Amino acid sequence: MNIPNWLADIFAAIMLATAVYCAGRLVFARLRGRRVEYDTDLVHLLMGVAMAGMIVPDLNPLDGTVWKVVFAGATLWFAGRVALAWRGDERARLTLRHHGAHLVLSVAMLYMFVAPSGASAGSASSGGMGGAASMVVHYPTLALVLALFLCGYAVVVIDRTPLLVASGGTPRARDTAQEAPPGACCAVADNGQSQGPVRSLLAPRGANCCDIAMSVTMAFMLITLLQ
Amino acid sequence: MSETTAGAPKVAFTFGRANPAPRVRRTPAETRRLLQLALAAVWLLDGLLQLQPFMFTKAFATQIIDPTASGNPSAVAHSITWSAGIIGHHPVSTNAAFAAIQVLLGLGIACRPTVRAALAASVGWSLAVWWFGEGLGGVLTGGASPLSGAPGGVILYALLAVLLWPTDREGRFPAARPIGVPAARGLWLLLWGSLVFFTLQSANTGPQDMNAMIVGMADGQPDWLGAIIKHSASLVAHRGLAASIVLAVVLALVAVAVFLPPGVWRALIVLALVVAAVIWVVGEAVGGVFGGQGTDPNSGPLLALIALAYWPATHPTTEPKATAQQATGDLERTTS
Repeated sequence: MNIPNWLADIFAAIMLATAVYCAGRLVFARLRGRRVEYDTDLVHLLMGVAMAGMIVPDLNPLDGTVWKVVFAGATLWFAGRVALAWRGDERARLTLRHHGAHLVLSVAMLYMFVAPSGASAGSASSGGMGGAASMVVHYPTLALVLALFLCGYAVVVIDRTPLLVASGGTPRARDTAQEAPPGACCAVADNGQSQGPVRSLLAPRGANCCDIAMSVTMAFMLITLLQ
Repeated sequence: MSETTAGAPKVAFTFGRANPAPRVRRTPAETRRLLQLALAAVWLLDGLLQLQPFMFTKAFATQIIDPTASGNPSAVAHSITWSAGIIGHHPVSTNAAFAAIQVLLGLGIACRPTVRAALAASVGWSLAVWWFGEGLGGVLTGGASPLSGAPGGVILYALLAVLLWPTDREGRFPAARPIGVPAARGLWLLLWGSLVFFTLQSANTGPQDMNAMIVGMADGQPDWLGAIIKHSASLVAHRGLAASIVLAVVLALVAVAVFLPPGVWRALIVLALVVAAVIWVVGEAVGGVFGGQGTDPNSGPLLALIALAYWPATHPTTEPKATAQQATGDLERTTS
Protein backbone atom coordinates (compact mmCIF):
# COMPACT_ATOMS: atom_id res chain seq x y z
CA MET A 1 0.00 0.00 0.00
CA ASN A 2 1.63 3.26 -1.11
CA ILE A 3 0.83 6.90 -0.55
CA PRO A 4 -0.83 8.70 -3.50
CA ASN A 5 1.57 9.77 -6.21
CA TRP A 6 0.63 13.42 -5.95
CA LEU A 7 1.50 13.41 -2.24
CA ALA A 8 4.83 11.73 -2.91
CA ASP A 9 5.54 14.31 -5.60
CA ILE A 10 4.78 17.18 -3.23
CA PHE A 11 7.12 15.90 -0.54
CA ALA A 12 9.81 15.11 -3.10
CA ALA A 13 9.51 18.60 -4.56
CA ILE A 14 9.83 20.15 -1.11
CA MET A 15 12.92 18.10 -0.43
CA LEU A 16 14.54 18.97 -3.75
CA ALA A 17 13.74 22.65 -3.25
CA THR A 18 15.31 22.47 0.20
CA ALA A 19 18.40 20.78 -1.21
CA VAL A 20 18.75 23.40 -3.94
CA TYR A 21 18.31 26.17 -1.39
CA CYS A 22 21.02 24.70 0.84
CA ALA A 23 23.36 24.35 -2.13
CA GLY A 24 22.65 27.98 -2.96
CA ARG A 25 23.43 29.01 0.60
CA LEU A 26 26.80 27.31 0.45
CA VAL A 27 27.72 28.99 -2.84
CA PHE A 28 26.33 32.39 -1.90
CA ALA A 29 28.06 32.40 1.48
CA ARG A 30 31.37 31.61 -0.23
CA LEU A 31 30.95 34.33 -2.82
CA ARG A 32 29.69 37.04 -0.47
CA GLY A 33 31.75 36.26 2.60
CA ARG A 34 28.74 35.49 4.75
CA ARG A 35 28.57 33.00 7.59
CA VAL A 36 26.73 29.70 7.31
CA GLU A 37 27.07 26.35 8.99
CA TYR A 38 28.80 24.45 6.24
CA ASP A 39 28.29 21.02 7.78
CA THR A 40 24.59 21.57 8.46
CA ASP A 41 23.82 22.97 5.02
CA LEU A 42 25.83 20.22 3.34
CA VAL A 43 23.99 17.52 5.29
CA HIS A 44 20.65 19.19 4.52
CA LEU A 45 21.59 19.13 0.85
CA LEU A 46 22.36 15.42 1.03
CA MET A 47 19.26 14.67 3.09
CA GLY A 48 17.05 16.53 0.65
CA VAL A 49 18.36 14.56 -2.32
CA ALA A 50 18.25 11.27 -0.43
CA MET A 51 14.70 11.74 0.84
CA ALA A 52 13.43 12.86 -2.55
CA GLY A 53 14.93 9.65 -3.92
CA MET A 54 13.30 7.56 -1.21
CA ILE A 55 9.90 9.12 -1.82
CA VAL A 56 10.10 9.02 -5.63
CA PRO A 57 12.57 6.26 -6.55
CA ASP A 58 13.13 7.66 -10.05
CA LEU A 59 14.86 10.64 -8.44
CA ASN A 60 17.38 8.56 -6.54
CA PRO A 61 20.88 9.20 -7.96
CA LEU A 62 22.80 6.83 -5.69
CA ASP A 63 22.68 3.28 -4.45
CA GLY A 64 21.30 2.65 -0.98
CA THR A 65 24.68 1.44 0.26
CA VAL A 66 26.29 4.75 -0.65
CA TRP A 67 23.62 6.62 1.26
CA LYS A 68 24.17 4.40 4.27
CA VAL A 69 27.86 5.28 4.26
CA VAL A 70 27.10 8.98 3.78
CA PHE A 71 24.69 9.17 6.71
CA ALA A 72 26.83 6.98 8.92
CA GLY A 73 29.54 9.56 8.33
CA ALA A 74 27.15 12.41 9.07
CA THR A 75 26.08 10.69 12.27
CA LEU A 76 29.67 10.33 13.41
CA TRP A 77 30.41 13.94 12.50
CA PHE A 78 27.53 15.36 14.53
CA ALA A 79 28.22 12.93 17.36
CA GLY A 80 31.70 14.40 17.48
CA ARG A 81 30.33 17.93 17.49
CA VAL A 82 27.94 17.07 20.29
CA ALA A 83 30.77 15.55 22.30
CA LEU A 84 32.91 18.64 21.79
CA ALA A 85 30.05 20.92 22.75
CA TRP A 86 29.32 18.81 25.82
CA ARG A 87 32.94 19.00 26.94
CA GLY A 88 33.42 22.62 25.95
CA ASP A 89 32.98 25.91 27.73
CA GLU A 90 29.69 27.66 28.34
CA ARG A 91 29.65 29.27 24.90
CA ALA A 92 30.29 25.99 23.14
CA ARG A 93 27.59 24.32 25.20
CA LEU A 94 25.00 26.63 23.70
CA THR A 95 25.46 24.67 20.49
CA LEU A 96 24.64 21.38 22.15
CA ARG A 97 20.94 21.30 21.34
CA HIS A 98 21.53 22.45 17.79
CA HIS A 99 24.13 19.81 17.00
CA GLY A 100 22.19 17.25 19.00
CA ALA A 101 19.16 17.81 16.80
CA HIS A 102 21.24 17.32 13.67
CA LEU A 103 22.72 14.19 15.18
CA VAL A 104 19.19 12.82 15.54
CA LEU A 105 18.31 13.89 11.99
CA SER A 106 21.36 11.98 10.71
CA VAL A 107 20.47 8.94 12.82
CA ALA A 108 16.94 9.05 11.42
CA MET A 109 18.28 9.10 7.86
CA LEU A 110 20.58 6.19 8.60
CA TYR A 111 17.70 4.31 10.22
CA MET A 112 15.48 4.81 7.18
CA PHE A 113 18.11 3.22 4.96
CA VAL A 114 19.03 0.41 7.34
CA ALA A 115 15.78 -0.61 9.04
CA PRO A 116 13.62 -1.73 6.10
CA SER A 117 14.45 -5.05 4.53
CA GLY A 118 12.88 -7.52 2.17
CA ALA A 119 12.22 -5.20 -0.74
CA SER A 120 15.53 -3.42 -1.28
CA ALA A 121 14.14 -0.60 0.79
CA GLY A 122 15.85 2.72 0.45
CA SER A 123 16.87 2.01 -3.09
CA ALA A 124 15.27 2.86 -6.38
CA SER A 125 13.56 -0.49 -6.57
CA SER A 126 11.67 -0.21 -3.32
CA GLY A 127 8.55 1.15 -4.89
CA GLY A 128 8.65 4.43 -3.02
CA MET A 129 7.33 5.37 0.40
CA GLY A 130 4.87 2.97 1.87
CA GLY A 131 7.09 0.23 0.58
CA ALA A 132 6.25 -3.08 -0.91
CA ALA A 133 4.01 -5.58 0.83
CA SER A 134 7.02 -7.79 1.54
CA MET A 135 8.95 -5.03 3.31
CA VAL A 136 9.80 -5.66 6.96
CA VAL A 137 10.88 -2.79 9.18
CA HIS A 138 13.25 -3.60 12.01
CA TYR A 139 12.92 -1.78 15.33
CA PRO A 140 9.68 0.07 14.50
CA THR A 141 9.66 1.57 18.00
CA LEU A 142 12.74 3.56 17.06
CA ALA A 143 10.85 4.95 14.08
CA LEU A 144 8.10 6.19 16.38
CA VAL A 145 10.56 7.68 18.86
CA LEU A 146 12.44 9.47 16.09
CA ALA A 147 9.19 10.73 14.56
CA LEU A 148 8.06 12.08 17.93
CA PHE A 149 11.39 13.83 18.38
CA LEU A 150 11.25 15.35 14.90
CA CYS A 151 7.71 16.65 15.42
CA GLY A 152 8.87 18.25 18.66
CA TYR A 153 11.97 19.67 17.04
CA ALA A 154 9.96 21.14 14.18
CA VAL A 155 7.59 23.02 16.47
CA VAL A 156 10.46 24.28 18.64
CA VAL A 157 12.26 25.66 15.59
CA ILE A 158 9.04 27.30 14.39
CA ASP A 159 8.63 28.85 17.82
CA ARG A 160 12.16 30.28 17.63
CA THR A 161 11.69 31.67 14.14
CA PRO A 162 9.97 35.07 14.01
CA LEU A 163 7.66 35.54 11.06
CA LEU A 164 8.03 39.27 10.85
CA VAL A 165 11.16 41.31 10.23
CA ALA A 166 11.71 44.12 12.68
CA SER A 167 12.87 47.44 11.30
CA GLY A 168 16.59 47.34 10.71
CA GLY A 169 16.89 43.73 9.70
CA THR A 170 16.08 40.23 10.78
CA PRO A 171 14.82 40.34 14.36
CA ARG A 172 17.35 38.06 15.93
CA ALA A 173 20.07 37.84 13.34
CA ARG A 174 22.04 40.79 14.60
CA ASP A 175 21.98 39.58 18.17
CA THR A 176 22.78 36.08 17.14
CA ALA A 177 25.69 37.10 14.98
CA GLN A 178 27.31 39.16 17.67
CA GLU A 179 26.63 37.13 20.74
CA ALA A 180 25.22 33.70 20.36
CA PRO A 181 26.96 30.66 18.98
CA PRO A 182 25.31 28.14 16.66
CA GLY A 183 21.92 26.91 17.67
CA ALA A 184 21.30 29.52 20.32
CA CYS A 185 18.49 30.92 18.22
CA CYS A 186 18.81 30.40 14.53
CA ALA A 187 21.19 28.30 12.53
CA VAL A 188 24.47 30.15 12.46
CA ALA A 189 28.13 29.75 11.76
CA ASP A 190 31.17 27.85 12.92
CA ASN A 191 32.01 26.40 16.29
CA GLY A 192 31.65 29.39 18.49
CA GLN A 193 35.37 29.99 18.75
CA SER A 194 35.82 32.54 16.02
CA GLN A 195 37.88 35.58 16.79
CA GLY A 196 38.06 38.98 15.25
CA PRO A 197 35.27 40.67 13.28
CA VAL A 198 32.10 38.60 13.14
CA ARG A 199 30.65 38.20 9.66
CA SER A 200 26.91 38.52 9.37
CA LEU A 201 24.75 35.46 9.14
CA LEU A 202 23.26 34.36 5.89
CA ALA A 203 19.48 34.12 6.18
CA PRO A 204 19.11 32.42 9.55
CA ARG A 205 15.35 32.15 9.11
CA GLY A 206 15.89 30.39 5.80
CA ALA A 207 18.13 27.89 7.55
CA ASN A 208 15.44 27.36 10.15
CA CYS A 209 12.86 26.76 7.41
CA CYS A 210 15.15 24.04 6.03
CA ASP A 211 15.25 22.45 9.47
CA ILE A 212 11.46 22.53 9.67
CA ALA A 213 10.95 21.07 6.20
CA MET A 214 13.50 18.33 6.85
CA SER A 215 12.02 17.43 10.22
CA VAL A 216 8.41 17.29 9.07
CA THR A 217 9.19 15.29 5.94
CA MET A 218 11.44 12.91 7.83
CA ALA A 219 8.79 12.39 10.52
CA PHE A 220 6.26 11.63 7.79
CA MET A 221 8.59 9.07 6.21
CA LEU A 222 9.27 7.42 9.55
CA ILE A 223 5.55 7.18 10.29
CA THR A 224 5.02 5.60 6.91
CA LEU A 225 7.45 2.89 7.98
CA LEU A 226 5.19 1.99 10.91
CA GLN A 227 2.62 0.21 8.75
CA MET B 1 57.56 8.44 24.82
CA SER B 2 54.02 9.70 24.68
CA GLU B 3 53.10 13.34 24.39
CA THR B 4 51.65 13.28 27.86
CA THR B 5 54.81 12.15 29.51
CA ALA B 6 56.81 14.57 27.39
CA GLY B 7 55.29 17.45 29.24
CA ALA B 8 52.15 18.25 27.36
CA PRO B 9 49.27 19.27 29.63
CA LYS B 10 47.44 16.22 30.79
CA VAL B 11 43.67 16.46 30.70
CA ALA B 12 41.82 13.90 32.77
CA PHE B 13 38.69 12.66 31.03
CA THR B 14 35.59 12.87 33.13
CA PHE B 15 32.06 12.03 32.24
CA GLY B 16 29.50 14.81 32.27
CA ARG B 17 29.88 18.50 31.83
CA ALA B 18 32.98 20.19 33.11
CA ASN B 19 31.08 23.14 34.53
CA PRO B 20 27.34 22.59 34.66
CA ALA B 21 25.28 25.72 34.18
CA PRO B 22 22.97 26.74 37.00
CA ARG B 23 19.32 25.77 36.55
CA VAL B 24 17.07 28.64 35.61
CA ARG B 25 13.48 28.47 36.82
CA ARG B 26 10.90 28.96 34.09
CA THR B 27 8.25 31.64 34.38
CA PRO B 28 4.61 30.48 34.26
CA ALA B 29 4.28 31.95 30.77
CA GLU B 30 7.29 29.97 29.58
CA THR B 31 5.86 26.83 31.12
CA ARG B 32 2.58 27.38 29.33
CA ARG B 33 4.42 27.99 26.06
CA LEU B 34 6.23 24.69 26.45
CA LEU B 35 2.91 22.95 26.95
CA GLN B 36 1.53 24.73 23.89
CA LEU B 37 4.49 23.46 21.89
CA ALA B 38 3.88 19.94 23.12
CA LEU B 39 0.27 20.27 22.00
CA ALA B 40 1.47 21.59 18.63
CA ALA B 41 3.77 18.58 18.26
CA VAL B 42 0.89 16.20 18.94
CA TRP B 43 -1.28 17.97 16.35
CA LEU B 44 1.57 17.74 13.85
CA LEU B 45 1.97 14.05 14.61
CA ASP B 46 -1.78 13.62 14.13
CA GLY B 47 -1.59 15.24 10.73
CA LEU B 48 1.30 13.05 9.65
CA LEU B 49 -0.45 9.91 10.91
CA GLN B 50 -3.41 10.96 8.80
CA LEU B 51 -1.14 10.82 5.74
CA GLN B 52 -0.52 7.08 6.08
CA PRO B 53 -1.50 5.09 3.00
CA PHE B 54 -4.38 3.31 4.75
CA MET B 55 -6.17 6.60 5.43
CA PHE B 56 -6.44 7.32 1.71
CA THR B 57 -8.54 4.20 1.16
CA LYS B 58 -12.24 3.59 1.56
CA ALA B 59 -11.34 1.33 4.50
CA PHE B 60 -10.67 4.43 6.59
CA ALA B 61 -14.37 5.21 6.46
CA THR B 62 -15.63 1.65 6.81
CA GLN B 63 -13.16 0.38 9.42
CA ILE B 64 -12.33 3.48 11.47
CA ILE B 65 -15.20 5.97 11.25
CA ASP B 66 -18.33 3.89 10.68
CA PRO B 67 -17.85 1.48 13.61
CA THR B 68 -17.94 4.39 16.08
CA ALA B 69 -21.65 4.81 15.33
CA SER B 70 -22.41 1.51 17.03
CA GLY B 71 -24.17 1.89 20.37
CA ASN B 72 -24.70 5.63 20.06
CA PRO B 73 -28.17 7.26 20.10
CA SER B 74 -29.73 7.21 16.66
CA ALA B 75 -29.23 10.91 15.98
CA VAL B 76 -25.52 10.63 16.69
CA ALA B 77 -25.20 7.30 14.89
CA HIS B 78 -26.90 8.67 11.76
CA SER B 79 -24.60 11.67 11.63
CA ILE B 80 -21.57 9.42 11.91
CA THR B 81 -22.84 7.10 9.20
CA TRP B 82 -23.50 10.14 7.02
CA SER B 83 -19.98 11.48 7.47
CA ALA B 84 -18.50 8.01 6.92
CA GLY B 85 -20.43 7.83 3.66
CA ILE B 86 -18.96 11.10 2.43
CA ILE B 87 -15.45 10.04 3.41
CA GLY B 88 -15.96 6.64 1.81
CA HIS B 89 -16.99 8.23 -1.48
CA HIS B 90 -14.11 10.70 -1.53
CA PRO B 91 -11.39 9.07 0.56
CA VAL B 92 -8.42 10.84 -1.02
CA SER B 93 -9.70 14.39 -1.01
CA THR B 94 -11.33 14.24 2.42
CA ASN B 95 -8.33 12.61 4.03
CA ALA B 96 -5.95 15.09 2.42
CA ALA B 97 -8.07 17.89 3.85
CA PHE B 98 -8.12 16.30 7.31
CA ALA B 99 -4.36 15.86 7.30
CA ALA B 100 -3.75 19.39 6.05
CA ILE B 101 -5.99 20.86 8.75
CA GLN B 102 -4.20 18.98 11.50
CA VAL B 103 -0.72 19.82 10.23
CA LEU B 104 -1.71 23.48 9.94
CA LEU B 105 -3.10 23.44 13.47
CA GLY B 106 0.21 22.10 14.73
CA LEU B 107 2.26 24.63 12.80
CA GLY B 108 -0.14 27.42 13.76
CA ILE B 109 0.13 26.73 17.48
CA ALA B 110 3.90 26.57 17.20
CA CYS B 111 4.04 29.95 15.46
CA ARG B 112 3.66 32.74 18.02
CA PRO B 113 1.67 35.24 15.92
CA THR B 114 -0.94 32.62 15.02
CA VAL B 115 -1.19 30.74 18.31
CA ARG B 116 -4.56 32.21 19.29
CA ALA B 117 -6.18 31.60 15.92
CA ALA B 118 -4.84 28.06 15.78
CA LEU B 119 -5.97 27.22 19.31
CA ALA B 120 -9.44 28.59 18.59
CA ALA B 121 -9.63 26.61 15.35
CA SER B 122 -8.43 23.49 17.14
CA VAL B 123 -11.40 23.68 19.51
CA GLY B 124 -13.86 23.68 16.63
CA TRP B 125 -12.03 20.94 14.76
CA SER B 126 -11.73 18.78 17.88
CA LEU B 127 -15.43 19.01 18.63
CA ALA B 128 -16.31 18.11 15.04
CA VAL B 129 -13.97 15.10 15.02
CA TRP B 130 -15.17 14.04 18.47
CA TRP B 131 -18.72 13.90 17.16
CA PHE B 132 -18.31 12.64 13.61
CA GLY B 133 -15.05 10.71 13.88
CA GLU B 134 -15.06 9.27 17.39
CA GLY B 135 -18.76 8.92 18.11
CA LEU B 136 -18.44 11.22 21.13
CA GLY B 137 -15.70 8.96 22.43
CA GLY B 138 -18.30 6.30 23.16
CA VAL B 139 -19.44 8.12 26.30
CA LEU B 140 -23.10 7.53 25.40
CA THR B 141 -22.68 3.88 24.52
CA GLY B 142 -22.31 2.60 28.06
CA GLY B 143 -19.11 0.82 27.16
CA ALA B 144 -16.55 3.60 27.31
CA SER B 145 -13.48 2.96 29.43
CA PRO B 146 -10.46 5.10 30.27
CA LEU B 147 -8.31 2.21 29.11
CA SER B 148 -9.79 2.45 25.62
CA GLY B 149 -9.51 6.22 25.40
CA ALA B 150 -12.68 7.57 27.01
CA PRO B 151 -13.89 10.29 26.94
CA GLY B 152 -12.26 10.41 23.49
CA GLY B 153 -8.75 11.57 22.83
CA VAL B 154 -9.76 14.37 20.53
CA ILE B 155 -11.99 16.17 23.05
CA LEU B 156 -8.90 16.51 25.22
CA TYR B 157 -7.28 18.61 22.48
CA ALA B 158 -10.14 21.09 22.85
CA LEU B 159 -9.78 21.10 26.62
CA LEU B 160 -6.04 21.73 26.32
CA ALA B 161 -6.62 24.58 23.88
CA VAL B 162 -8.81 26.26 26.49
CA LEU B 163 -6.47 25.58 29.40
CA LEU B 164 -3.41 26.80 27.49
CA TRP B 165 -5.02 29.89 25.99
CA PRO B 166 -2.48 32.75 25.97
CA THR B 167 -3.26 35.41 28.54
CA ASP B 168 -1.44 37.81 30.81
CA ARG B 169 -3.58 36.86 33.79
CA GLU B 170 -1.99 35.23 36.78
CA GLY B 171 -2.82 31.89 38.28
CA ARG B 172 -1.58 29.27 40.70
CA PHE B 173 -0.96 26.84 37.86
CA PRO B 174 -0.86 27.19 34.06
CA ALA B 175 -4.40 25.90 33.52
CA ALA B 176 -5.81 28.49 35.93
CA ARG B 177 -4.45 31.49 34.06
CA PRO B 178 -7.01 31.71 31.24
CA ILE B 179 -10.15 30.58 33.09
CA GLY B 180 -9.44 31.14 36.78
CA VAL B 181 -8.77 28.71 39.58
CA PRO B 182 -12.38 27.63 40.34
CA ALA B 183 -13.22 26.85 36.71
CA ALA B 184 -9.92 25.06 36.16
CA ARG B 185 -10.48 22.95 39.24
CA GLY B 186 -14.00 22.19 38.07
CA LEU B 187 -12.78 20.99 34.69
CA TRP B 188 -10.13 18.80 36.32
CA LEU B 189 -12.73 17.26 38.62
CA LEU B 190 -15.12 16.74 35.71
CA LEU B 191 -12.45 15.05 33.58
CA TRP B 192 -11.01 12.66 36.14
CA GLY B 193 -14.37 12.18 37.83
CA SER B 194 -15.83 11.09 34.50
CA LEU B 195 -13.02 8.57 34.16
CA VAL B 196 -14.03 7.13 37.55
CA PHE B 197 -17.61 6.85 36.29
CA PHE B 198 -16.58 5.14 33.05
CA THR B 199 -14.37 2.71 34.94
CA LEU B 200 -17.23 1.57 37.13
CA GLN B 201 -19.80 1.15 34.35
CA SER B 202 -21.27 -2.33 34.32
CA ALA B 203 -19.80 -3.05 30.89
CA ASN B 204 -16.29 -2.73 32.35
CA THR B 205 -16.59 -4.53 35.67
CA GLY B 206 -17.19 -8.13 34.58
CA PRO B 207 -14.54 -10.70 35.55
CA GLN B 208 -13.02 -10.77 32.07
CA ASP B 209 -14.03 -7.36 30.71
CA MET B 210 -10.79 -5.56 31.44
CA ASN B 211 -8.71 -8.56 30.39
CA ALA B 212 -10.50 -8.80 27.06
CA MET B 213 -10.14 -5.07 26.45
CA ILE B 214 -6.40 -5.10 27.11
CA VAL B 215 -5.46 -8.35 25.41
CA GLY B 216 -7.30 -7.27 22.28
CA MET B 217 -4.69 -4.56 21.78
CA ALA B 218 -1.72 -6.94 21.70
CA ASP B 219 -2.08 -8.13 18.11
CA GLY B 220 0.27 -6.52 15.61
CA GLN B 221 2.37 -4.72 18.20
CA PRO B 222 6.16 -4.87 18.49
CA ASP B 223 7.37 -7.73 20.70
CA TRP B 224 8.13 -5.62 23.77
CA LEU B 225 4.79 -3.84 23.65
CA GLY B 226 2.85 -7.03 22.99
CA ALA B 227 4.57 -8.68 25.95
CA ILE B 228 3.71 -5.80 28.28
CA ILE B 229 0.09 -5.82 27.15
CA LYS B 230 -0.29 -9.59 27.49
CA HIS B 231 1.37 -9.61 30.89
CA SER B 232 -0.86 -6.77 32.08
CA ALA B 233 -3.92 -8.57 30.75
CA SER B 234 -2.97 -11.70 32.67
CA LEU B 235 -2.73 -9.68 35.88
CA VAL B 236 -6.40 -8.67 35.64
CA ALA B 237 -7.71 -11.96 34.26
CA HIS B 238 -10.81 -13.03 36.24
CA ARG B 239 -10.28 -10.03 38.52
CA GLY B 240 -12.17 -7.46 36.47
CA LEU B 241 -14.23 -6.03 39.31
CA ALA B 242 -11.32 -5.72 41.71
CA ALA B 243 -9.10 -4.17 39.04
CA SER B 244 -11.83 -1.70 38.12
CA ILE B 245 -12.29 -0.69 41.74
CA VAL B 246 -8.55 -0.16 42.22
CA LEU B 247 -8.36 1.90 39.06
CA ALA B 248 -11.41 3.91 40.09
CA VAL B 249 -9.89 4.67 43.51
CA VAL B 250 -6.66 5.85 41.90
CA LEU B 251 -8.57 8.02 39.44
CA ALA B 252 -10.68 9.44 42.26
CA LEU B 253 -7.55 10.39 44.18
CA VAL B 254 -6.27 12.18 41.11
CA ALA B 255 -9.64 13.89 40.66
CA VAL B 256 -9.44 15.58 44.07
CA ALA B 257 -5.74 16.46 43.76
CA VAL B 258 -6.31 20.11 42.94
CA PHE B 259 -8.25 20.65 46.19
CA LEU B 260 -5.45 19.38 48.42
CA PRO B 261 -2.31 21.07 49.84
CA PRO B 262 0.46 21.69 47.27
CA GLY B 263 2.67 18.83 48.45
CA VAL B 264 -0.07 16.22 48.13
CA TRP B 265 -1.32 17.93 44.99
CA ARG B 266 2.08 17.50 43.31
CA ALA B 267 2.33 13.89 44.39
CA LEU B 268 -1.08 13.17 42.88
CA ILE B 269 -0.14 14.96 39.66
CA VAL B 270 2.80 12.58 39.43
CA LEU B 271 0.32 9.75 40.01
CA ALA B 272 -1.81 11.17 37.19
CA LEU B 273 1.22 11.08 34.90
CA VAL B 274 1.82 7.45 35.80
CA VAL B 275 -1.85 6.61 35.18
CA ALA B 276 -1.69 8.37 31.82
CA ALA B 277 1.40 6.36 30.89
CA VAL B 278 -0.24 3.08 31.92
CA ILE B 279 -3.40 3.91 29.98
CA TRP B 280 -1.34 4.84 26.92
CA VAL B 281 0.89 1.78 26.90
CA VAL B 282 -1.33 -0.96 28.31
CA GLY B 283 -4.82 0.12 27.32
CA GLU B 284 -4.19 2.02 24.11
CA ALA B 285 -1.08 0.26 22.79
CA VAL B 286 0.65 3.60 22.23
CA GLY B 287 -2.36 4.84 20.30
CA GLY B 288 -2.30 1.85 17.99
CA VAL B 289 0.15 3.62 15.71
CA PHE B 290 2.04 0.41 14.93
CA GLY B 291 0.24 -1.13 12.02
CA GLY B 292 -0.48 1.92 9.95
CA GLN B 293 -4.04 2.50 11.12
CA GLY B 294 -3.56 4.82 14.09
CA THR B 295 -5.03 8.26 13.47
CA ASP B 296 -3.71 9.82 16.67
CA PRO B 297 -1.74 8.87 19.79
CA ASN B 298 -5.06 8.58 21.71
CA SER B 299 -5.76 10.00 25.16
CA GLY B 300 -2.68 8.98 27.16
CA PRO B 301 -0.27 11.77 26.13
CA LEU B 302 -3.05 14.35 26.34
CA LEU B 303 -3.99 13.32 29.87
CA ALA B 304 -0.33 13.74 30.77
CA LEU B 305 -0.22 17.21 29.20
CA ILE B 306 -3.36 18.22 31.06
CA ALA B 307 -1.82 16.97 34.30
CA LEU B 308 1.29 19.06 33.68
CA ALA B 309 -0.91 22.11 33.11
CA TYR B 310 -2.17 21.64 36.67
CA TRP B 311 1.27 21.51 38.29
CA PRO B 312 1.06 24.05 41.13
CA ALA B 313 3.50 26.93 41.03
CA THR B 314 6.31 27.01 43.56
CA HIS B 315 7.15 30.66 43.00
CA PRO B 316 5.34 33.97 42.57
CA THR B 317 3.24 33.99 39.41
CA THR B 318 4.06 37.55 38.46
CA GLU B 319 6.59 38.08 35.73
CA PRO B 320 8.04 40.90 33.67
CA LYS B 321 5.57 42.24 31.16
CA ALA B 322 7.91 41.67 28.23
CA THR B 323 8.41 38.03 29.10
CA ALA B 324 4.70 37.46 29.50
CA GLN B 325 3.95 39.16 26.20
CA GLN B 326 6.53 37.17 24.29
CA ALA B 327 5.42 33.87 25.74
CA THR B 328 1.76 34.60 25.09
CA GLY B 329 2.17 35.22 21.43
CA ASP B 330 2.30 39.00 21.45
CA LEU B 331 5.56 39.13 19.54
CA GLU B 332 3.64 40.36 16.54
CA ARG B 333 2.69 43.56 18.30
CA THR B 334 6.12 44.27 19.72
CA THR B 335 7.99 43.77 16.48
CA SER B 336 5.68 45.42 13.99
